Amino acid sequence: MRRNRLSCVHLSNSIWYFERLVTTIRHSLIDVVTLRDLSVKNSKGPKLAFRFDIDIDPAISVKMATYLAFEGMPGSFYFLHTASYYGEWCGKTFVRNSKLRSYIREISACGMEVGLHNDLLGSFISHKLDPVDVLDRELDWLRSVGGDVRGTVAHNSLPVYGAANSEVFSECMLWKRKVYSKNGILPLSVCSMKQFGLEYEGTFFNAKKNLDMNKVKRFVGGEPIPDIRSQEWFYDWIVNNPIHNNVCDYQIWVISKEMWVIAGNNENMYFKWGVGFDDVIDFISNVQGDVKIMVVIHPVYFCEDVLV
Amino acid sequence: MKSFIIVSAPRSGSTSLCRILNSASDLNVASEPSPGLHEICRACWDGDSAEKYEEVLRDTIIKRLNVTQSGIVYGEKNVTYGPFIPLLSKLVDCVFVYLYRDGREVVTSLMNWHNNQFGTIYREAGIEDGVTDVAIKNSFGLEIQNDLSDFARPRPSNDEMTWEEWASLSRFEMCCYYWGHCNAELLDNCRQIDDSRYYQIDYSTVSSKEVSKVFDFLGSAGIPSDLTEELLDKKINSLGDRGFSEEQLFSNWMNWSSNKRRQFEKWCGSTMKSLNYWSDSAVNWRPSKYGEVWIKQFGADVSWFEWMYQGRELAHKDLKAFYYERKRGGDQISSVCDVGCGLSVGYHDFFKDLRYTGVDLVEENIKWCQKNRDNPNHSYLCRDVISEELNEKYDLVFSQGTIDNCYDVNGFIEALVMSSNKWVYITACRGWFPSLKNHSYNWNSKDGCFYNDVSPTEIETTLKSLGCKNIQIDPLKVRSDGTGYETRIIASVC
Repeated sequence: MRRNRLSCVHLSNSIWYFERLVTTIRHSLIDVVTLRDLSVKNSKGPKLAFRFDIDIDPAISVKMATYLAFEGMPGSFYFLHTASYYGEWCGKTFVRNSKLRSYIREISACGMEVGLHNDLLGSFISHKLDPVDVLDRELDWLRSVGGDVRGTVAHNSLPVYGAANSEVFSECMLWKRKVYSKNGILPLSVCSMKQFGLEYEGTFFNAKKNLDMNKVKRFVGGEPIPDIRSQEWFYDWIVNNPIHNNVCDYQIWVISKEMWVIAGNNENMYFKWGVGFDDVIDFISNVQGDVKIMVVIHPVYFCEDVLV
Repeated sequence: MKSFIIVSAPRSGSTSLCRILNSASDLNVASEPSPGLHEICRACWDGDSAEKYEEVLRDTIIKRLNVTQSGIVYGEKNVTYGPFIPLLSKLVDCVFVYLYRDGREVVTSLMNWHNNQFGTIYREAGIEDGVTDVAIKNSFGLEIQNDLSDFARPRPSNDEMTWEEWASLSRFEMCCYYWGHCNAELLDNCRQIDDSRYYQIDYSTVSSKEVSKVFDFLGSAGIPSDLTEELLDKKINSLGDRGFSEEQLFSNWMNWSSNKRRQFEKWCGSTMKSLNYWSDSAVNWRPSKYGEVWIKQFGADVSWFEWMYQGRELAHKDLKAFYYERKRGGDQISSVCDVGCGLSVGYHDFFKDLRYTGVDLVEENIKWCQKNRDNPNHSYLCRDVISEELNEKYDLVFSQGTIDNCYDVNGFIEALVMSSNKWVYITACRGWFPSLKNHSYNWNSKDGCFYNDVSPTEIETTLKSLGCKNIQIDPLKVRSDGTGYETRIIASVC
């Protein structure tokens, strides 16, 4: 077993911290829904969804799912198909990890939503894989294992590849352009969500009209340097993004031990950096109106007492 | 006649009772009308006071209970009403029918419900062995936020146990907790209201006569008893009645291992006693038809007992060698007790010079021995040693091939140890099972007895807990060609 890199640098919280979060949110009486339900337009009342981006540590995700089931609350879990826990290339053959099936089934059996954490541009760049083929194969497999997959969530942020992973879908194209990579032009807008039976893309980007291309260039070019623990970058990425707005009114991200960000969007310009548990609960308990909140959790941030 | 509420734990028969009562022309009984109060039920299990939800009750169940219809009394049932019995009794002039069923049957039913078809009982327990693909698929299809039934089930408070402890339990244990906790609360809540306002019915042994008492309690004219019988026979709301496979994926309680029995005892023992399913703990696991095979088939059949004795000659030789070895070593054995003696074939003459007591469950055998074995130093007792003490102690208490058929292996061992001054010698004739961690019970309803595989590990633990020393548990060769082994158990008693 190897200790995960985050616990080595003391960036992660304990699983108990997550359990406390869930229980407290349950008692706050806000309506907790799946990401799929959050994507529904014109919903009434404040709603919150837990989005789990499983970049690493699927085992801790299972623990989180069982706790959510204990509290009767839904969560939406997205498996990253380019992660080492998902599978690896053996020559020309992609072999999925033998434990992956049981992770997905356990999470699904808890009544959770399951989806694909989309790194289609990543797999194009590293292995020149056609995103349509990858989507077809992985969605088919996920559905055969158990999940009723209706949505994906893009991995990474736009500056990483010069385009967002969500932009493989025509519905999510942010603006028309060609992006070059070592394997050629990135395959953007090559398919539609509908053709794969998908109903939503869980980053909820809403492309802006009338882009300021100077600001766009700076952002895509890495100004400020993309870093999830950079206050300046995070603000530009979520709240004041030059390229897209966000359908969600608020996003709440855990980015370190007892460290959260509460970020609004272009319309409300809300931003609280480095807040703690109590501030998060306070915020959630006091929202009013037809507000959508997405709590983004990377399970690796709750691995303090877990060896992987 | 007053409106009424049927309360129970799930899988206890409330739907069956509901439909039977609804067959009466003067009753209108609704089964789980919406909204089902799942959320506030869970809130109360979690520690909220029922009084907090008075308004919700007034807007839902009380409204329905207060609707009058000439000549017809309204009633309803839901497993979520339990926490609200005292409050409802204050707010509305109604009565309650508290229905319960043997916890072992309910837990088995919950497990089969989960494993066979639904896959949604205590979802935090995850996917365990024995669940069908159908059940797993069904669980995938029901998102947790829509699974009000599972949400409404009680979970322990932090004072009772931590989440980690709860999460480490098997689904079986969680279901045991469910039945035990739920019925304890129901009993407690019923006892907070006037006796005249509730009626208890045990659905494990329900008959048309019992159901007619419920009709009487409700002031209803009822239905003909043959109709009640017909409806009871239908096993309303069983998996079969619902059109699902009735394959018993989870065994009934008579086939539970000793470990499952212990787990059930832990979570449900006290409620089983409160509901009078268990009074004397020694016979808790004895089925009603236990012992029939010896009584009906082999009672006092000399030729059968002689054939049985000859078939295990090596085993009997070993016991006799053990006795001689003790004698040679100066360990005086002057009294022996033969538990499961049958007709005392082989031993009435071997121990002719000793004080010998033969004990058997079958009265016919004992009477035959008393008549035909005329040694004045010998006596014969008809006893179930597990539940009835022998009033004497013996230097050697032995039992040949009886432990395999008893209803409580550890209880049997304890009974023999308690009756001994010096030694116990026991053989389990079904075989040698060194890899078994717990005793495995296999009930044969046709024979009315168990066929147990005893665990050497568990035997040793039991003997040690009774303070025994010189414990020897090993395979005993019973066939000269070496193909058959039994389990031999020897221990000295302090």
